[in-house]
Amino acid sequence: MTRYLLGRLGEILIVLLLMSAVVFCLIGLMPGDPVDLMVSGNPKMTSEDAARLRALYGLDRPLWGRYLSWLGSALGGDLGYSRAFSRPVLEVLLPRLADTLLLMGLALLLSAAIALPVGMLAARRPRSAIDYGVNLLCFAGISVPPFWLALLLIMLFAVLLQWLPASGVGNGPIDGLRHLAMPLAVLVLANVGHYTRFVRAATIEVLRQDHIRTARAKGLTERQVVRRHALRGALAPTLTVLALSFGGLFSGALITETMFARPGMGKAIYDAIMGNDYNLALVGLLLATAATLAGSLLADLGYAWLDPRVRLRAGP
Amino acid sequence: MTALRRFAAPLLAIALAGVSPALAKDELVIGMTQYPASFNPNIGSMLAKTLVESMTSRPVTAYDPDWALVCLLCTELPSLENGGATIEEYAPGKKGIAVTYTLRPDIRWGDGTPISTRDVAFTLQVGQHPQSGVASAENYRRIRQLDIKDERTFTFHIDRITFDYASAGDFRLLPAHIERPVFEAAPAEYRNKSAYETDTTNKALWFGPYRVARTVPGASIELERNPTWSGKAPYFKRIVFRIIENTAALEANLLSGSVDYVAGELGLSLDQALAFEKRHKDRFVVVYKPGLIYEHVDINLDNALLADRRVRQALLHGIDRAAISARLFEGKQPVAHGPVSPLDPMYSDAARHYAYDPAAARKLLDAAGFGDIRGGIRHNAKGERLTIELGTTAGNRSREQVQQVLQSQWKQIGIDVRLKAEPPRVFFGETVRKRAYGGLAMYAWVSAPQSVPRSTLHSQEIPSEANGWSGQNSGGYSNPEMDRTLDAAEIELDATKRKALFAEIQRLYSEDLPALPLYFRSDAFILPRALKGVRPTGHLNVSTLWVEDWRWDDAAGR
Repeated sequence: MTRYLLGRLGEILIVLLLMSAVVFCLIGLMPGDPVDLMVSGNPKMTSEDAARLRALYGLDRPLWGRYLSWLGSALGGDLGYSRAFSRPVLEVLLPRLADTLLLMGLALLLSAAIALPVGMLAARRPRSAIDYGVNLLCFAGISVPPFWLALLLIMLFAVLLQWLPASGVGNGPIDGLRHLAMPLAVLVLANVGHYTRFVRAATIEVLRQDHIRTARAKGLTERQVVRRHALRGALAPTLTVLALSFGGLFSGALITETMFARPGMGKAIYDAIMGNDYNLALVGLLLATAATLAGSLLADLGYAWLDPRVRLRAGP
Repeated sequence: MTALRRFAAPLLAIALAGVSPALAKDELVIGMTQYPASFNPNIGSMLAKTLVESMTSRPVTAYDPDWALVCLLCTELPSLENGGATIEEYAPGKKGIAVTYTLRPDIRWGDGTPISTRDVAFTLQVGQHPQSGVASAENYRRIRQLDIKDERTFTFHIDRITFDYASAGDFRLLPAHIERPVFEAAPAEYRNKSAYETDTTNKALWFGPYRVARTVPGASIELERNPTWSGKAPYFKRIVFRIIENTAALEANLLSGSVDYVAGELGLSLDQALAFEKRHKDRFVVVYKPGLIYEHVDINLDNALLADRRVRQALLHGIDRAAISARLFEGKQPVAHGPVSPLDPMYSDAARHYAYDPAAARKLLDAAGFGDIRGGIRHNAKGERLTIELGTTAGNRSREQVQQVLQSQWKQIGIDVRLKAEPPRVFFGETVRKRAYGGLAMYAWVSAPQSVPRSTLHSQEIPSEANGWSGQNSGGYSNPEMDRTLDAAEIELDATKRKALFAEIQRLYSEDLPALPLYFRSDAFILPRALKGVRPTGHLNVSTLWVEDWRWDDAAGR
């Protein structure tokens, strides 16, 4: 097990290193650079100014040279400065990460907490009125565009009823919760449909298997069959979906954050890419990659725990 | 049911906690769509920063809402007439100008330290240092020498004579007692290590009516009254800038009361403001201020089809700009006849105006050799089809609408136009900068009052691989007469003669048509009825420079 874990951690480090090179080059190869953006917004900047700033930011050096010097600094613990905020990258990203983790983590938990029982309920009575009702709601949740839902909620709860603030993060826990309510609702409504459909499909699949038939033949009630045998079986594939969503905990939800003016990771990464803020984009994307890889590792560990047939060992 | 009540009660309590009756209006919440990339007055240039820093500091001179140059930190505007400026020959054959300013005696940094010529000297040192990160250093470079007379009086010796010598331009004072140690420790690191970035709420950095009290990067900036401000006391105790990048959400915030006012310089788009005004004119006043943002269509003169002046003139005769302004913008964005705004004192009405005249356009195209019409499209004697590409920035709804109208109107005179839209960073970073557009490129230029359009019209400003794609004359326009007039206008001190030179620039522009003028963009200021005193300027010195005139009149809001 220890060998397996060390092997997987090594793989993660290699993937992160490769990702850093790929992302750095992709961002560097995009048209325009930060100085171009300054020139287009400032008619007083001369060509001499542009050349001076390019040299100062190191933009006159070849891409690989810039990458190597970034990598050297990063390995020494210096991830560089954000151009858009004139602050160290981590100082910009960490508060956003905390906010995103809170929002996305709660959304994931709530979505999973709703999807598991509802999906299993629908799976126990396929093609019943309950199943059709659940499916209808799921498809409605999947189909509604988050930006439209966000605007609808803002108009209803902030403009019309004036119960909740329209945007921002608030000060203090109570105010923070009030600011969290609508973005959380949007994310839960957008995710819960997917998860419910997945749990439903996984449970139907498990309920058809031999060991379930055996459990029923032993005289267990349907509730006991589901709780003791089907749930465990259905959880394993569900874990895959949740593990893939784990990366989202770090990369944020761009549309929801934009609509509710929450300074989260999704917005930060998007703005950094569009604004040529190389360091911020790079570190933000690496964090999201690391989280996805960590989620995948956790899912594999979860499989082993949930399914006794799965055993983990390091590769040949 | 009991469980539901147990769950719902705290939620309702949380929801209602924020609904308290409004108290006295101490705080004004301004919504805008960008967060400043830097708080240092001399690093970077961004409208969001300008809006905030105009409340927390002041430039030495500025153009007021009536477009007159005024002193904000100095006691008197220097001029040749009052002896504040003198022409000098600093080297054989080289003339410059010496401009003397005296700082107001009552200005102090937020920690009480008087603002003095030490700060002037330090600011110049930073501005002239190649590694300091100052974006636009041209004005600093032009100062060849600084003479300090005393704590308050200093003289800039400028290396050339320009008509706008009295304007201190982008010279924004830095507090030497705070910033000097940071700068001198590592000039190349200054842009990141400046106290403006690392200790933004340090009161010693600010000297306007307000100072920065709190920042949440990307989300909000809170200002509080500055006790060391000696000018007119501002009305609001606090001003909060809330950053909401999505304009639909910004509008919803305005309606919900989370935001009081949307800054016109950085707020709703014009079409949104027009729709908003129709629905909510009982609660808000919408002020439309046309300014110095000049929407136009650049013409790549390397394109053989467009090199003939008659074709360019036909293009302009072929579009109904008045109808575009009336139908798409309800007449709020005035038609442009050249790069100089009618609000600018240098504007000349004598330059040729092109009315919508399809018949004249057809005649011009016939004369240019495009008389052969096949399938509704004109061809020349060589059989070349008159097909032109028109590019613009993707995601800008107004531009995309105008693009379609232009295509349709030009088709009526036999010109086939292919539309193209690129993300702004591709459009500006590659296509326009490297003159890679095939025919036409629609975008905007921003200028300052009375600014000579040298960077866009002088032949020395044509970007090329040889000059590292520098310069903004992306159409490749070259006319020696225009070059001479631009050079002369820059150094002409006599206002009447300068106006004549500007008139000549506008005449040449309207004859040669290096670009097709469309309209001057308007900013839409969404003002609650109770907010009084906001005066949109229409130029780069924004309305927040006069924040001490703003007040809240509840009676007017009812």
